[in-house]
Amino acid sequence: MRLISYIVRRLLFAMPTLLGLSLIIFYTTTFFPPRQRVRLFISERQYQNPWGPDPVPALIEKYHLNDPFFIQYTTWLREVLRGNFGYSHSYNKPAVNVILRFFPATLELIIFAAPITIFGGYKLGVLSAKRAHRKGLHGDVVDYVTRTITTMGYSLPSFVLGLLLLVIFYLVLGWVQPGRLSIELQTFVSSPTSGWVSYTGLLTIDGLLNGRADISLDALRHLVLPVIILVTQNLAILTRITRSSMVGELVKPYMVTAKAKGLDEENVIGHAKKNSLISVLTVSGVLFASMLTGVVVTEYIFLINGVGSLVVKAASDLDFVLLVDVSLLFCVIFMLFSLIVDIAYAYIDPRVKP
Amino acid sequence: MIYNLYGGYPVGFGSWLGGLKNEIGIRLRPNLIELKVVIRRVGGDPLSLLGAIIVLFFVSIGLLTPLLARPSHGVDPYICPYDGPTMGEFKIYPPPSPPSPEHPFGTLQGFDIYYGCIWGTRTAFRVGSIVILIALALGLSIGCVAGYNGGLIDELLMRFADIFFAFPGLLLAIVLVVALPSVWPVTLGPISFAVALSQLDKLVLALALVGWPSYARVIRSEIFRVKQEDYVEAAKAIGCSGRRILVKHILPNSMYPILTMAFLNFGKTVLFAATLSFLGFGPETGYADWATIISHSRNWIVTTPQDPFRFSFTWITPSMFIFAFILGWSLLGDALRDIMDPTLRRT
Repeated sequence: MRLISYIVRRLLFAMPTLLGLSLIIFYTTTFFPPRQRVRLFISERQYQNPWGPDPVPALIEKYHLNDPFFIQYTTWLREVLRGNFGYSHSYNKPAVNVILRFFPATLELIIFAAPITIFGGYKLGVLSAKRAHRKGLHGDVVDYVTRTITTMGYSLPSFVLGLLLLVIFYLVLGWVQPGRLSIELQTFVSSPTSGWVSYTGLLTIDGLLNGRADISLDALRHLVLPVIILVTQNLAILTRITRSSMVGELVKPYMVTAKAKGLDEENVIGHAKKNSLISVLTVSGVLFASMLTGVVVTEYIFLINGVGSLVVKAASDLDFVLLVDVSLLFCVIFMLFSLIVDIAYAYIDPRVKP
Repeated sequence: MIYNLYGGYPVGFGSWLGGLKNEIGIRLRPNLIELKVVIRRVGGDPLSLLGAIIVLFFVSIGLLTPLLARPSHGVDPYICPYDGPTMGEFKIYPPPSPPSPEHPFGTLQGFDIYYGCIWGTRTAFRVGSIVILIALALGLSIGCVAGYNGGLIDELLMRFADIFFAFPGLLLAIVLVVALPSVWPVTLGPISFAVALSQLDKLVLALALVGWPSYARVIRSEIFRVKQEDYVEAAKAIGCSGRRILVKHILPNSMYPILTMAFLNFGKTVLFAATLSFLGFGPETGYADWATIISHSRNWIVTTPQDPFRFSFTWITPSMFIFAFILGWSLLGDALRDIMDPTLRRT
C-alpha cells in the first residue's frame, strides 16, 4: 500500500517535467507557418480535397493558430489528451499509427541490449575496481585492459564502429543483409495472404508464436550486430561509473571495520558492491538516455525500421508532427524508467523510505 | 593491502614540494603546486600521457592548418577544394578517386579528403569551443540566478533544467536543428536586421541549448556552498551590493569546477556534433568536417555492395581522425578526473 502511494506521488511529481517538455517541444514548432502546423491538430487527411474549397483557413481559425502562444498550447494539449496526435504528411497517416508501426523494432533492440549492458558493465566495473584496489590506484593488467577497452569503446563513435561492422560482416562476409529480416522472409511477413499474425510486433517472439522458428532465428541474426554496437557504447559508461564508485567505497572506514572483524575478501567486497549500486542507479538515467541516443544511430546505420531511423527520416522530411510525438513518447518512457529506478532505490538503500 | 591505494611516489617528492614553502612552512603558490602535481601524475601514467600527446598533436594541427593544407585565395577556407567536372554553376559530383600524389587521402565526390581532414581539425575545435562557450554562458547565468536567489526562483529554474535531463539530448538537438529558422529577424529598437544561420550555426546553437543544464546545475550547487563562507558574510556586513558580492566574491570562488567540467566535456561535445553531422544534420557537402565526409561516403558503401572496400579510403581516414581526437580527450579527461578527485588522491 505504501509502495502504491509512493508510485502515485512520484508520478505526480513527474507531471511538471512532462508538461515543461511538451511546452518546449511545442514552442519549437511555432517556428513553422500556421499552414503547416495544422497537421499537429488534424487526425485525418481532411485538408487536401482538390475539388472542395481550401479547408485550411477554417482549421487555422478552429485551432487558434494565429492566437497567442499559450492559447495555441492549451488547444494542442487538449487535443493530445483527447488522443489526437496529429497527422504525418510524409507517411500520409495519423502519426500514432506510424509510431506504433515503428516502435516494436526499437523495443526489441533495447530488450536485447539492456540486460547485456547492465550485467556486463557492472561485472566488468567490479572486477576492474577489485584489481585496482589490490594493486594501487592504476591497477594491474586486468584493470588496465578493462580501462583501455572501455575507453576505446567510449571513444570510437558508434557510427564509425557501425560502418566498420556493417562493411565487414554484412558486405564482405555476406552474413546477413541490413534490416530486420532477410528479404524473402520480409516479403513473407509483410504479405497479407501469408497468414502471418503480428502478436507483439517483436519478430523474435512473433516467429515462435506463429510456429516459424526460422523467422525468429533470422531476426536474431539480424539483431546481433546492432546489439553489439549499443552494448559497446553504453558498457563503457557503466563500467567506468561502477569502477570509480567501487574504488571510492573500498577505501571508506566501514571497509576497515569489516576487514577488522575478520570477514573474508568476498564478504568485504560484497559490502562495497551494495553501496556502489546506489551511484550506479543514480547514473542509470544517463545510461538510459544514452541508449535511446544510441538507438537512433544504430537503426540509421543498419537500416532497421525503428523509432530511431523514423526520427532521422522525419527530421529530414521536416515532418515535425512525428518529431513532437516521438519526443513525448521518449519522455513518457523515461518517466516510467525513472519511476522504476526510484523504486529500486528504496529497495537497495534502507535510508530511502518509499 | 587496503591502504595501498595511492600508488608509489618517488622518494624526493616531499622535498620537491618543500621547495615551495616559506620559512615558517606555509605552502606558497598552491595553484602552482597543484599544476605541478597534475603534470607529474599525467606524465607518470602511460595512458594519460598518450592522451596528453594526442591532444597536443591535434592542437598543433589546428594551429598549423594553413601551412599543412593551403587554402586557395578568396574562398571560404573551410570548403574543400573541388576537383571535378562542373556545368556552369553546378558541380557534377564524380565518384571517389583513390589516393594519388595531388590528393594524398583521395577525393570524395571531387572534394579533397586530406584538406577536409586537416581543416576538419579546426572545425572540431571551433564547434567544440563555441558550443561550450555558449552553453557555459547560459548555464552560468541561469545557475547564478538560481543559486544566489534560492527559494522559488531556484526551484523553478532548476525544474526547468531538469526537463533537459529527462530527455535524450540527441533527439532534442535534432528537433532544434529542424525547428530553428535559417533567417532570424532581430529588432533592436529602431534597427532591425536579419541574422542568417547556416546549417552548422544551427547545429552549434542546438548543441548549446541542449548542453547548458549540466553547467547550471554544477554552478548552482557551488554557489550554494560558497554562499555559506565567512567572507561572503563579511561582504554583506560592510554593505556590498548583491551584484558585487556575486561577481567579486562568489563567482571567482565557484568557477573552478565548472571550468574543469567544460574542459573535460570538450571531446564529448565534438563527438555529439559529429553524430549529428553523420545523421545528415551537419554542414553542406564539401565542408571540411570529419563526420560530414563519413556521412557522404556512406552512400558509396551502400551503392557498391559487390566490392565494399573499394571506396573505404573515403571514410577510414576521417574515422581515424575522429577516433584519435575523442580518444585523446577521454584519456586525458580520465586522468584529470582521477587526479582531481579529492577522495582518491595522494597523501
